Amino acid sequence: MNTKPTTKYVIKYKLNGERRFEFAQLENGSDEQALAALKAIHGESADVISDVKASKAL
Amino acid sequence: MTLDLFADSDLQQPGRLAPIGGQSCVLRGFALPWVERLLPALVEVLVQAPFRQMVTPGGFTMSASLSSCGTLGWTSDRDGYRYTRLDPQSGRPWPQMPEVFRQLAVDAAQTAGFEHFAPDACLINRYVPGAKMSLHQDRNERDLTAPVVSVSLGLPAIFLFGGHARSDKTQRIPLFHGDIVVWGGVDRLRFHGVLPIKQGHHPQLGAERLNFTLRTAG
Repeated sequence: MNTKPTTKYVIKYKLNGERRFEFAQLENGSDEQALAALKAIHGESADVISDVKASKAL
Repeated sequence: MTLDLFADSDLQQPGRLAPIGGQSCVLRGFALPWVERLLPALVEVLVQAPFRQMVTPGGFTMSASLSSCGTLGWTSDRDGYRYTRLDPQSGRPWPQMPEVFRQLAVDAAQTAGFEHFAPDACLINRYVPGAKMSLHQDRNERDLTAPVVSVSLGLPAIFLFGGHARSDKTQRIPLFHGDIVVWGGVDRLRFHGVLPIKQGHHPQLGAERLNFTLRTAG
């Protein structure tokens, strides 16, 4: 079980070139964590995720 | 990492960015994670600069009540529309813009594709049922390259988003608690307004709609 504290982040990104955003609880706002969260949302599809930026949603 | 799309009762749907123009969009629910910090900050602003109903240059009393925070505050009276550094009601500077307001607006602007947004004015509108905002353009700002970021809280509203002429057809866009509209660039001077607010009750705000509109005015 993951017991590390998490914080709510807003992840800004592009999906197939279109601007999108999602909220996710992340341990930190690293690009890797944000991308992993987006892949979990969108699954293993041919969609192209780019321009990923995460910032704290206070 | 925990996905949190449905953790809060207010977060009933995933974040969604809905384009409404070439450089304008609605960010559905974007402000929800910030609401718990926005509302106490708002109370502090309103203690210093309470809501008041302003008069238009034409002599009409606006149905929405207004206040402001930031370096500049928007005012209207028989002499015209303008930004001022002092609250004409108190003679003191407008309250400082709370950091949570600024941060939310900057994040929303970035999400909509506007980097480096630096708001210096936040107009706060309070709508009770029946209050409205007629179609108008935001053109009192000195720098029209910066976007407008408009945060909706409380009762729902129908936002009218038109073209560059008052007579252009308008889109009717429903706005709910936590939604943010951002418009700028080629859409910066599009006419916009709000239809009369319908009767209702919001769990946090009761029978009112609050709207924060952040701009770079100076």
